[in-house]
Order: sequence, then C-alpha cells, then structure tokens
Amino acid sequence: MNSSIILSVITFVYGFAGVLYMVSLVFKKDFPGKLASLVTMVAITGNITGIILRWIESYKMGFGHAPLSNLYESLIFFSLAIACLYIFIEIRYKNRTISTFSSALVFLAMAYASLSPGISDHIQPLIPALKSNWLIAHVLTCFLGYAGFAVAFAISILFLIKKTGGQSEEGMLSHVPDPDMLDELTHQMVMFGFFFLSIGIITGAVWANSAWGRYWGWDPKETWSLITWFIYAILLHARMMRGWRGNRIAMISIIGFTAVIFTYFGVNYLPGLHSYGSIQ
Amino acid sequence: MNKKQNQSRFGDLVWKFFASVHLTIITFLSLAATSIIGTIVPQNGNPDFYFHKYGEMLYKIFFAFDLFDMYHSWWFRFLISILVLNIIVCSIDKLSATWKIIFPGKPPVFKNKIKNSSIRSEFVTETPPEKLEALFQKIVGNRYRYAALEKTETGFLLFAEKGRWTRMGVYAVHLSVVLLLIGSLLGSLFGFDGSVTIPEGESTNQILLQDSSRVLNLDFQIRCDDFSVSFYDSGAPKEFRSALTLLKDNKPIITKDIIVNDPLRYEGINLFQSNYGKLPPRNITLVLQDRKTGDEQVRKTAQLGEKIMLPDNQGEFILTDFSDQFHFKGRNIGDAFTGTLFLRDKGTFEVLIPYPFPKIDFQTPDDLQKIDALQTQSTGSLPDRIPLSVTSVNTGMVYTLNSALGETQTIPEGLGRFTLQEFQRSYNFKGHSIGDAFIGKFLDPDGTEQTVILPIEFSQFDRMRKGKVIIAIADLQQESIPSNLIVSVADFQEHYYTGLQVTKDPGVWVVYMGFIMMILGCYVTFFLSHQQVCIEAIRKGEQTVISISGTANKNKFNVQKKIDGLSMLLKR
Repeated sequence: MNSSIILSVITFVYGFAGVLYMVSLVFKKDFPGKLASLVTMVAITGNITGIILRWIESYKMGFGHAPLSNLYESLIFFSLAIACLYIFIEIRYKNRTISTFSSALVFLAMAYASLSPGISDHIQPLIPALKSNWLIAHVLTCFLGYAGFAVAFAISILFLIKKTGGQSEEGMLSHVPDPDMLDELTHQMVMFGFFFLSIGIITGAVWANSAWGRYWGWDPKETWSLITWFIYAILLHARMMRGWRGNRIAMISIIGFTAVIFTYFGVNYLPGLHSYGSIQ
Repeated sequence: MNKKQNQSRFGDLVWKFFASVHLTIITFLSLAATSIIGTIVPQNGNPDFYFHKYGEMLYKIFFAFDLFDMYHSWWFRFLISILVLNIIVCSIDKLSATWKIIFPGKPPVFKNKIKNSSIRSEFVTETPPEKLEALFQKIVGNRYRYAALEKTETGFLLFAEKGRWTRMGVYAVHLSVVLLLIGSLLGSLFGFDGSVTIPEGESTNQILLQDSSRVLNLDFQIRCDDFSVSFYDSGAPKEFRSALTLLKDNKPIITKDIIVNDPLRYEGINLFQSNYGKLPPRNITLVLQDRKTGDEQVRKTAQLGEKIMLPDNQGEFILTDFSDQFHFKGRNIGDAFTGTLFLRDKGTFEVLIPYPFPKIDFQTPDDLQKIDALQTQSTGSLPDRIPLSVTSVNTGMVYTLNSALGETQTIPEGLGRFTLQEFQRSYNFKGHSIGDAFIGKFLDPDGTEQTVILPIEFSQFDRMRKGKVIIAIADLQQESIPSNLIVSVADFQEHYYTGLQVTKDPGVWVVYMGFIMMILGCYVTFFLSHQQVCIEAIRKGEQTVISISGTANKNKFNVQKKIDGLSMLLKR
C-alpha cells in the first residue's frame, strides 16, 4: 500500500463527507450530519496516515524529508488543516452546517492534488535551496494560515446565502447559525489565518536571509503574500476600529481568499523563486 | 480668531488626518493594489528588454513612474512613509485612552458598564449573601487576577478581571511594523548587497554591488579552495559546496565549507553560495590514434590553447575551445572540446571532440567511427551547382533548381526570384550553431527583399519565414577527405568558479526583533482579551438572586460561555 493510493482514496472519503453535510443541510436531518462528522474524522485519520507513510517512504528512498516540499504535498497538508479546523469549529459551536462548504473545499483541494494530471505525486529529493530546517516551519505555518482563510471564506459564503435567503424559521437554512454568529466566526478564522500567515511570512524571511542573504526580495510570491496580508489587515482594522460587520466583512474575506488562491497557484505563472510550487 | 488658535486648529486637523483608520485602510489598499504592478512588470531588467516588450510609449510612461524598480520608487516609499506616520500617530492617539484603562490606579473601571452588560446569567439560591462572600471570592480569585468585593445594602457586588495588559498587544504589533522599517532603513543605509565570482584556487577582495554596479573592496581576501557539485540520479542538483578561506595580510583567518542555507559569517559580512559555473578544464589528456590501425600515436597532457607537435613532423594540433553545453545538430551533447588539426600533407581539420564518447568504450571500432564522423572535415569542395528545392505553398508543387553561387533564378508560378549568395560553415542562428548553411536573397513579386537562410541539416528551416515559397537545399553531396588521425580526450580536470552573494546588513537584528514582537503582539491581540465580570448578590426575602454579568474587549461569544461556566461553578 503506498501513500499516494491511500490519499487518493481519502479524497473520496472527504467527498462523501461533503455530500453528507449537504444532505444534512438540505433535508434538515441530523443523522447524515452526524455521519458526516464521523466520516470526516475517518478521512482525517487516513490523511495523517498518508502523510506519515509518505514521510517514511521518502526515507526508504534514501533522501528522507518532511512531505511539505512540492505542490502535491502542500495540497495534502492544506486539506488536512482545513478539515481539522472545521471539525474543531463544529464541535466547539455545536453546529454542522458550518462545515458544508469547508468540506467541499477540502474535497476540491484533495481532488486537485490526486487527480490532476499536471501534478506529480512522486517523492522527489530536495534541491539545495530547500534543504533547511525552516522548510517545515515555513510551509506548516503558511498553510495553517491559508486553511484559516479558507474556512473564513466558506463561512462568508454561508453568511451571504443566509443573509439573502435563509432568515425564515422553517427554510432550508434554518439550522444555519444566525448571521451575527457567522460574522463572528469569520472574524475568528481571519484572526487565526492572519496570525499564521504572519508567522509564515516571517519564517520565510528568516529562511531567505539564511539562504540568499536577504530577508525580503520582492519576489512575486513574497509580494503576493504581502498583498494578501494587507487585505486581511484591512478586514481586521475595519472590523475592530470602524465596526464594520456582515456583508462588507464577508466581501473582504472572499476577496482575501482569492488573493490567497493567487498567491498559491497564480504566482507560478509569474517569474520567481518559489518554482517548486509549480505544476510540472 | 487669533493666529495661534488657527495654527492649533490646523495642527489638530493634521493630527486627526494621520490618526484616522480611514487613512490606514486607504494606505493598505493602495499598497496592495500598486504592489501587483511589480509582480507583472519584471523588475530591474535592462532597458532594451523593456523597450522591446512595451514599445516606446509605455516604456516612457513606466520609466517616469519608476515601474521597473517600483518597490524602491519615490511614490512607493511615500506610501510606506504615510503608513508609518499613520501607525505612530494613531497609536499615540489611542494609547492615551488605553493607558487610562490599564493604569487607572485601582481597578476595575467602568463598573456600570460591566454590571449592565447584556452578556449575563442569573440564578437563585437560598443561602444568604454573607455566607456566599468568602466562597465566591475564592472561586473568582482562582480564575481572575484581580477581585474586589463591595458591600451593598441588600448584598454585595464582586468585581473581577484579568488580562488588562493584553490591551497593549496591538501597540506591540504596530511598533513591530515600525521596527521592521527602521531595520530595513538601517540595512539600506549602512549595509550592502553584492556578488563575486571566484575561480577555484584564486582569491579576491572585490565585490560587485548589486544596485549600483560599483566595486567594493573588502578588507580581507576571499579564496575559493575548492568547489564541488553533486547531482541526484534524476539529474536534479543535490549540493553546491564551496571551500572558502578568508585571508588577512595573506594569513588565513577562517576556513569553512559553505553550502546553500549554510553561509559563512565574518565580522558582520555574510558569504552565501549563490551559483557556479564551469571554466575551461585543465590538464587535458589527449590521445591521437591512427585511423586505420587504431594505434596510439600521441598521448599527452595539454592545456587549452597549447600547441602539440605531432611525431615525424606530420603537423600540429591545438585545442581551441571547450563548452559544457555543446550544441551539435541542434542537440545538446554536453561537454565537448574543439580543436584544430593541421596535417602537413592533407590540410587543416576542425575537429570536435565530445568528451563522453571515447569514455564509454574507447576501443571499439564503432565508437571510433562515431568520433571519426565528427572529425571528417569537408574541405570546402562544394559542387559547382547547388540543387535547390522550391515548394509553392499555394499549389503544393515542388520545383528543383540548380544554382551556382551568385546566380539569380526565377521561381515558377511567378512567385519571385532567388539569388544564392554565399556559403557559411557553422552558421550562428540566435546563438546556436545550425551547421553549414547557404544564405540567399528572395525577391518577392511585390518588390520586397528577404534574406533566406538554408542550413544543409535542416530542410524545413525556411518554413519559419512563413512565405509563399519554401526554399531548401535539396541533396548536397559534399566531398570529404578524412584525416589519418583521430583525436580524443581520455581525461581532464574540471575547473569551476563559485558565485557568492556577499552581504552586510546591520539592520537585520532590528528586523528580527520586529518579527518576534509581531508574532507575540498578534497572539496577544487575537487570542487574549481583557475580561471583566461582576457578580451581584441581592437578598430578596428568603432568596438571594445572583446575577453574573461580564464583558471583554473582544470575542464576545466566548464571554457568554465563560459567564455560563462561572455560573455553573458558583451554583454548586
């Protein structure tokens, strides 16, 4: 059994969880929701197993390194981080509807990694620039940050749907928490994401300083992560200092996440240092 | 209104302008939006490149706005200055209010605000207030840093709070941004960023600065003792390693092997492994063999450019050049030497010596033949008339013409005229040798003239011109005379140079302090809060009504959870 196969299977387990969440939301039934949580936890276990196995496999191939070194591996970790976050919120706030869109994002990320012909799931040895202890800290924190923003994005979408159509007592969205709660949750997730994105940028800077002798070089990926940071900084200031709530915060959160996606994928079409994130 | 009032009013306005969160949001927005430009327009390229890419008009506009180095332009720096000013003024402005909350003498403040908070929980008990006092104080005291009891006519009020200092977190974040910018300013004022390339075995103290292209002399010498590169089986690079020695007054001070991610640091100056390259190799072992018998006639170690006399006064041989990426017939064959073999009775031969071939299996006749094929030099004896094939794109007809150099031929179908002008050995097309080629001139019926290149190896080459006719050399028989010696290289010593990044940045510690402060500040600001609770006990007849209310400066949802939890605890 090899890790890529396990992870391909896990993709569909996440997909199944997503379908169950959707069923639970649409038919307002509790059972599919409970099952969805259970299936997600199974998927998370499989996801972690896959990552650990991949780590072991890389050592068996003679050039062991943490599985955080290319687009495939980062997508797998990204999915895990989102799944853990949404399950955490679900348990803490005792509401499963929040997970509906997040689980869809996890499925998409996993499916992209496992099924896209452009993404190689081969374990490759590290090129000299990536051989650093900062690799793990940098990638881990960046993707925790991205995961926070992804969940914030999913909640913002739910917020907009609830706000426009689902305020009635018996409608499809009656199980969805009230908009104030969703707004607060978006804020929480953005703070989580911002915290880890900041650490991600900082660890990246420290790493760059030890590899190339400069902590900031206006490389497109660096610049785009800073643009993302600015957008979420706007959200935080507008909410905390100007008291913005609701629609406007949800919109900034959605814009912010598109910046995240561009930082993640789009930058590979621009010239720069982070080529290992590219589609081979 | 007198003048003084006027001035202070103006001052107030300026202060308010820089203290506003609107300004923060607008500045962030401008920085985010303009930063995108620099990720689309390549930065710090050379003017030719930009001129070609954008045309004259855009080039002038982009140039005027410094878009080719926009992150160091006056207007981008101006935006950053606004941000810094905004952060400082805004922080000072808010700090005075925060200060009063944090150090008001005796906490807590705003008692009514806590007492009347909408986040609350209530329960009723029969125990009289006096008996609850000590118990409540103990429970609350365990969970909150500060607790104070006030007696009232019908019971008591218990105020408690913690995390008052967390209100400072946001100022730490703001200060951290200022530190980052001070650090980067220190770096650009008192530091430098340069590069140097050093061949193995040599030393230098001259650094080429990145931004100004000036040369900087270090007060020590950097010597590259050795460079090595290793690869994975896949061909991807595994490690670049330079053995460096720093010398002062010709005495070694430090010796260290540096690799990527592990630089050498000395007196605030850092040396990073950044690139490498191959230099012409040294001590090349040449072998010259007889074409027919394979007998070794000469084996000699030579340097590039060194003349070797052949035995029996046959002639001489000289190695002229080396490339680690030699292009032969459009294919990169890797390491290869070129040389000139002069044989007294046969003439001059340009020879190509690919290095791996003789090494694979030196002695088999097959390999000898392969090298032989590369070294059989056609000596310019072209036929008098060159066969040309001309294809009409419209009709698909192919015509064969025979033309001598300098002759003008008329192409059928009224497609124009063609003149074969000259012949060149190893024609250089956009930096690549495309082998022997003819060059001609095509005259279109509409009067335009085009130069046509006809490489012998590539019959489809003229398709690139996208004209109405495709011209090619049809089938050329070149007469060739083989040399009676075959030259190969048995061994050589690699010679590399190492490319180092040399930097000095005295501001980096300020920046790192900023980093740490930002992480801590963000943590405090986002995840900790100033929490205050008020527990009110009122005796109403036989019962005591306990109401717990609370507030926090952020995350109000959690406050309710905490209050509920506290309520559960007190009930017991």
